[in-house]
Amino acid sequence: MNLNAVEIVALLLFMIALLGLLIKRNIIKSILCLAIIDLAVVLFFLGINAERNRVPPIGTVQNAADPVAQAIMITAIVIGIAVTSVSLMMFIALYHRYGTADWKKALDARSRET
Amino acid sequence: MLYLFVLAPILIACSFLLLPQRIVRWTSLVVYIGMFGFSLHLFSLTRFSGQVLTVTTGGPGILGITLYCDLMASIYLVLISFMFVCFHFYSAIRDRALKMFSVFLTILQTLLILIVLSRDLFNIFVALEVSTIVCSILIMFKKESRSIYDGLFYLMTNTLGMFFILMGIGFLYRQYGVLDITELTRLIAETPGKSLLLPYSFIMTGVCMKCALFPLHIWLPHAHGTPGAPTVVSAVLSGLNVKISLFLFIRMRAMFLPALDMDAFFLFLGVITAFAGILMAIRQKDIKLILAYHTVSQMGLIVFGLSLDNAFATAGATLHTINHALFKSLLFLASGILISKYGTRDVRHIRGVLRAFPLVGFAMISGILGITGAPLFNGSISKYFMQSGAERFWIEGLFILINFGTILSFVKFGQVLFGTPDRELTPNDLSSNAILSLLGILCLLTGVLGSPFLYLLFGEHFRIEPPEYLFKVALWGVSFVVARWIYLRHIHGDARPARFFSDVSFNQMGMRTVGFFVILFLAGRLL
Repeated sequence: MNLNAVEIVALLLFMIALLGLLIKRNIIKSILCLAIIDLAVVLFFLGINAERNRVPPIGTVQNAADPVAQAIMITAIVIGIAVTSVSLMMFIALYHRYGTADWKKALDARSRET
Repeated sequence: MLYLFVLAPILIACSFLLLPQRIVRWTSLVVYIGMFGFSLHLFSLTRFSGQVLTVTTGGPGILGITLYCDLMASIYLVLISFMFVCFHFYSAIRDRALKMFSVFLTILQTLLILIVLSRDLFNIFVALEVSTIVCSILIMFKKESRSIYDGLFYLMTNTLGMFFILMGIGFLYRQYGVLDITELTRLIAETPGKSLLLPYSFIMTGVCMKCALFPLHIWLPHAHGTPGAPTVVSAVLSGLNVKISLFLFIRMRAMFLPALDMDAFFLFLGVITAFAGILMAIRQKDIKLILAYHTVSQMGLIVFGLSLDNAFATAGATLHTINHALFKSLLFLASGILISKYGTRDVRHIRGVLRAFPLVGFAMISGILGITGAPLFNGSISKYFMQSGAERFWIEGLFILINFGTILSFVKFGQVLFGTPDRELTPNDLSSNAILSLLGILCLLTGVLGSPFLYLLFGEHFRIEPPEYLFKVALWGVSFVVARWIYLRHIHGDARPARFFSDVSFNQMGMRTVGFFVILFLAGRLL
């Protein structure tokens, strides 16, 4: 599999953000990591078949970039924003209840309630 | 027409925001019944005239975005729209539900239908992801603190899974340049196996997260059984939402099957999931959590049946998804009534349902008998077919063990039916009684008329051999007696749930996701 530079950067970003999900207990950082994963996937899509000297696919042009990936990634970006905003909103509500931004403390507080 | 089927309900749901409460209640009823009627129409078209409906916009063939309705999809459509009619009668008239609630519920239904109809991988991703967001909002709808935590946990874990799926789609698109499932299936069949392992592992990790298979099942019980969520939400999540994930599992498995055959792995995983779900269900005392953990075990059972790769077992597993939607929704709705009437969620403090609410009690008995696979009820038919698909002796033995565990956990659940209630209880209202009775009768009818029902659905004759069926009946009886004995002797008191299985922090969930991905990848290398 021959990955180009954009795809390699995208995969690296994906792994870094994944690592952040695994080792950071802060809820806000987790939400940000998910947002970065979303961006990494978007970058990966845009990197598919990307080469130098490609032109935007407007009108009839030679050597145009792939329009499908760009078109669908707009939707993916919108969805990523929706996820981030909904989870931040939920985090605010959670913070008002439990007063912590730590997954483990929030889990402990939740277990105590039952 | 198919486009309107998806578009119209969403537009109507958005217009709900402008209308007064009273009108919304009746309009949404009209919408649900209309969608039920239309999906019946689609079913009759695909089943009796043998048509496959496809609609494409944008361009011909793979250039456009396709909606595709075959027999399998139309069965799911009928199931979804029928259940939503039931849920509407249960909630809107009973709870005087809020307007926003109807809006979200209608949008959720439409998204589920879009997932079933879509033939385009990216479309499926969009619909799944938006339905995840809508579900998480519905989970924390009452803003109770525990359900906010559960909703956030559900949203973040499932979104992580969805990004895995999107990454897999990216790899597929990179390799083939198409997103259409039909075209991809054709192309994948021409490719030699292992080069697809990376996209396969990415996509399947996400799908298994949505299906709540073993190490990734942690989000499900809390999301489905959370204290603050309205009962209908639990029923939708447990009855329909996970079924749609299973539908996706079926589609993805079929798509990759020519290149990568991982049935052995999922057979193993299904068994582990089934046992893990049962083990946890036995240890719970919260009525909704018992049911939620039980959903996990049934998902395992269905994946197990699907992975047997046998016409009988596949038909049985598909039928079991439908049956499970019926009886699990029934049990969740009934438990919602019990929770509000008794004011507690603890199974040890709810007694005498049969005496206080006879109709609810009988409906619950029907559901419990269905889920445990008792003779004459629907669960027995689907489990019978899955078992007859098992060719080897030890696989059949595993089936019997799983079913034994199911009975064991429902012996505990069934305690609520008997005895005398310890407090004054207000009688239940008419509409929810009627819905529960309808679902209970359906559990019985699809069981008694099991063979004709299967013929009606799939158009193929699956015969039930009386001697073998009688043997299964005897087996059920023996399991029941043994389970009751074990329950009374050994696990009558309550046990604290093991922490490893139930409460897991988000970081550990991420760790499990990555671990699952690696294991799936390595297993694909080895198999």
